[in-house]
Amino acid sequence: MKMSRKALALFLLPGGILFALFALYPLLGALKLAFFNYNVFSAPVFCGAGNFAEMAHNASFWNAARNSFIYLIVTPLLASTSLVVAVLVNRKMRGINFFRTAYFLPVVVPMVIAGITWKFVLDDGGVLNNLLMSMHVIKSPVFWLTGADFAIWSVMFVTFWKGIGYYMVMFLTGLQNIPSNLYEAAEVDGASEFYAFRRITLPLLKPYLLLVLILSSTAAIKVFDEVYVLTSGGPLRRSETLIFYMYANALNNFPPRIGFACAVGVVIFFIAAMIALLNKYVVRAQ
Amino acid sequence: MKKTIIFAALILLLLLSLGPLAWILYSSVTDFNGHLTIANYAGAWHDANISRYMLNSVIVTGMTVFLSLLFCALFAYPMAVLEFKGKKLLYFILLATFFVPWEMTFVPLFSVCVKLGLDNSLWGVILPSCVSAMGIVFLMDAYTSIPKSLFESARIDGLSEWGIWLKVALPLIRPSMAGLAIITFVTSWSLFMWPLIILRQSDSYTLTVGLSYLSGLFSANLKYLAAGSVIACLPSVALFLALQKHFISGLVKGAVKG
Repeated sequence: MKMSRKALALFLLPGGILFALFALYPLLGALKLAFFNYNVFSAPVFCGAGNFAEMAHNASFWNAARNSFIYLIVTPLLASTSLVVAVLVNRKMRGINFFRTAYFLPVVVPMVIAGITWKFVLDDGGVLNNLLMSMHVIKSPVFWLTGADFAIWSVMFVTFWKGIGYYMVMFLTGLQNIPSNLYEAAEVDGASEFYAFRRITLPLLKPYLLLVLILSSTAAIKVFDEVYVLTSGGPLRRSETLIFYMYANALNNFPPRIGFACAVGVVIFFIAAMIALLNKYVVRAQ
Repeated sequence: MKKTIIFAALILLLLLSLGPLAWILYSSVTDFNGHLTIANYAGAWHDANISRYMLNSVIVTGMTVFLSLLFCALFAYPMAVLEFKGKKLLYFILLATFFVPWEMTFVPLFSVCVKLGLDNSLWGVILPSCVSAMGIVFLMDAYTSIPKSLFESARIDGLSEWGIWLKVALPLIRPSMAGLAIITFVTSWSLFMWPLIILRQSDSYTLTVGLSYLSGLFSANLKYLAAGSVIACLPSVALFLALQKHFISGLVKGAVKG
């Protein structure tokens, strides 16, 4: 079908202009500035791969990269737990819809609010410490958010808590697409439930598993909200992830290190792309 | 035996998923002695500026949902059902930007918004969130599933291209529009990092930014914070409970497209 030029322009222009202005132009800008020294106050100066070279020698960059790498542990935890939960709620039982709804509820809570909520629980004088102390499990408060060894795991736990319901729903969609006569046939053949799970459920869920792995690992590499609210990257940068490091260089540093921050952004982009490819490769190879 | 284990697991997961939310709800409706009160809500609403943050969030989310539906529905239409020069290139650009972590563009995006005078304004949050490659591809799929014959007969009936879009195509993609509306609503209502960067004055804060600011204050009134958090959850929780089926299928479809 054809359309007059004028009509076509009216369809494409509003969205096209916004997309060019607020997505494409800043994207190209970030790719360009990654090769410049720029602090807002004076004009950008080309520095070649200088920002990237500096990252290679910068201990706080490697600290952030290490933390982001640690953070990826949340991906297999989320994928396995939400698969188990999906299998658990994928049954005909009175009231099962109530459980599904309840498990999904954290997903619709904005991440910032989830962070604040868990801060109430995990703070040094928070509910969890009070509860554990009154039950005599611990003698003094555990510094869930302010202890150097705990902070990143506590933040990760909040990501985990808010993610389970989301990925549960993905797996549930997959489970409900599996024809039930496959299981009936397995039962007739005398296969155990676990055997049926391994030989029928898992292979047929593979596309959903790939989806969950890609979604949760790219989200993990971009984690920001829960870090900001719960620990602000602390203590001693022990929970500072790459996105937070980028943010801090551009906005908390004086003078702002715009070019360097953009270079960190480019690195994040490559890591995210590599993770997506790796996930695809791993699931294919299985 | 097996039934008991399953039931125990279900209850345990219930405690985990709802426990912290129940706790913050409880904190918000009790005073420091544990007596029921609504004073925290009144205090949060009036003294902690929550009413202002709420208004800002409602404006941002409302405008973002409306405009992004409109712009994506417009853009996706010729991309899906018409032939024109440059269509392949446009589609390629859209797909190429799918995996971009947009956070990496926030610094240059900030300068664009400053140049346009959008810093500190709600429009600085709304406009950049209005068009997404995901939304466009999502609606292109919906348009493509409309039988071509419907368009042909509408043309024979003498409808203009605008008429066909408005009277034939749009009504038929209503379910997908609803799905996209839900996804956009949840995303926009929870948006944090970008509003945190672009909104620098307390009066323009959205709920997420305002509450994170409150929670960072040394002198924060925790009771107000709890009440504000409950208020901030209510719209998306209410929408979810009211539209569960659509809600979940919308999110899943959106994730598959994204």
